[in-house]
Amino acid sequence: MDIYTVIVRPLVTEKTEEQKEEGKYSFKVHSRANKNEIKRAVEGIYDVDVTAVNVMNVPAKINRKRGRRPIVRHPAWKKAIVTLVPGQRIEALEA
Amino acid sequence: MFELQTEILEHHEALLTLEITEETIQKAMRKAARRMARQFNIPGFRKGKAPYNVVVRTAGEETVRQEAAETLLEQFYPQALKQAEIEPYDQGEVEDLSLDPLVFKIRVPLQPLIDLGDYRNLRREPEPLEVTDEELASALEDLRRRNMVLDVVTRPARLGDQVTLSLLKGTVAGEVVIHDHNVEVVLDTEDFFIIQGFVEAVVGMSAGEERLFSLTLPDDFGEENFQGEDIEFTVNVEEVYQLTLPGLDDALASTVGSFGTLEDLKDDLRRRILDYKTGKATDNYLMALVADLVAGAEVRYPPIMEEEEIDTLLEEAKASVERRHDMEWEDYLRLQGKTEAQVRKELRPEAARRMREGLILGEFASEVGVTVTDAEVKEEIRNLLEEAGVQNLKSLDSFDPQSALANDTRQRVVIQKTLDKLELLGRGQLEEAEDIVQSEVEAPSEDEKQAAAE
Repeated sequence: MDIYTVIVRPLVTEKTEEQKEEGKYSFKVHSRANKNEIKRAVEGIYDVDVTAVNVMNVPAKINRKRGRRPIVRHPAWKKAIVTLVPGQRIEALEA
Repeated sequence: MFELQTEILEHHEALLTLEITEETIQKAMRKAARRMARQFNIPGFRKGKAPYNVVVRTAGEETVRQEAAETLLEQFYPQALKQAEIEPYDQGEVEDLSLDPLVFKIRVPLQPLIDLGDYRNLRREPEPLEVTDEELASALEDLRRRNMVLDVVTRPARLGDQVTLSLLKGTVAGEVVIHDHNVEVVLDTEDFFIIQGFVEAVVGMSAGEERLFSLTLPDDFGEENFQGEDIEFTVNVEEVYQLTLPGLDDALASTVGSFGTLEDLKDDLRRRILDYKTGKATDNYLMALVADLVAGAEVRYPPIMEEEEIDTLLEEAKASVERRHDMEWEDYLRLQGKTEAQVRKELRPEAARRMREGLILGEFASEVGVTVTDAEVKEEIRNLLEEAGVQNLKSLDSFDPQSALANDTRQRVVIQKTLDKLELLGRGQLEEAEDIVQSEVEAPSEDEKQAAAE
């Protein structure tokens, strides 16, 4: 799998901003990607060294509300939390 | 913090150049970012929880800088004014703004400067006042005319008579345009009735006679449709009166009023004419004095004041159009074939004149120390009410010195007092008056001593 297909986008939330301090970066990744592919993709794209990759499948969610689209389905996706070698940072994601 | 450069511009304005140091901006940007984080929804963060970096990335650095610039301006503008030792007339206007480095160029209108010049030596001879014999004679003649004696006569009407028409009917091309009864007409060729020729046509008629005649309306007749048309008159004379001027004697005096003799009447007339002339002369005198004062004074003011005065004049014009002609302002403009901008331009000289005069008189008032107390205002309102015949003056008990009426009245009293002082000055009596005030202050009268003791 192409490394730019593996990484969909970085995640920017309150939680991920905090984890960046510990050298942990979160991404939305391709659902079929495995840890090895993710490690290679992050190292390739951002030129850093990865020590660990944790992945999890985020289940699909259904939002119900009134209106034009009463039921909105958010499909399932895969999240990866990548830990870098201590001291390293991804400048591009530091805003 | 900031660096300031002040430049005084031509039109009585100042240009402040305010350069703010980068350090201060950075601090302000962080504050601005926090505020923005609270205001805007940034996905992934609760309100107010987004860190500075994230805000800058989502909103853009320029936006944050702009936001910071606004708060900095608010914060530093008053300080800058103080530092530049400038008295602004109104809010300054940001003329130019560069974000990096942060530099504001602010154009500040200055308080008007009024230099009255050598007003202390302003003098003007009042016009001498007298009632000439001609004026008295013409007033008497007027009285005689107004008290003509009417005698019914049976002879045909002559020029100089008065006739009563029981019927007056006029038709133009078959259409009735005048139809009236009991019309009184003085047969006078100079001061003719309706149109020239009418009087001549009526001359020679006796009481009870009816006459038909036709005249041509002149080309400059008031009603355009009728210009140059023929008009057919049907006239019925009911009565013919001979007019006689009453004699200039004691009898006339007693008819006109409760005067015993002609001399009394003459005295009264003379007094009234003098009163009238005095009033008029005082007005003229004051106007001339004001003109002198204005001519000798030097005024500098920012253009915005002129614009404001034009606004006032324009509002007045609008109100008067709507009230007097019962017409919308836009319709009026269309009718006149003007735009509002043109009207503004036309009003400019008048606005400038009014403003100069107001500023100069205001300065004069403060120079000579015109003050008005609330008690004086209340007194003035009482006088006005009494003049208007209002008996119930109870409402004065709840007199509010801040009400619109009180402010209006105060304004009027101030103007009156200022003009009084100006008149004294013009007559060369101001110094005397001031001396009197001075000595009163120095030596309180018996009443005041007593009041103080109590």
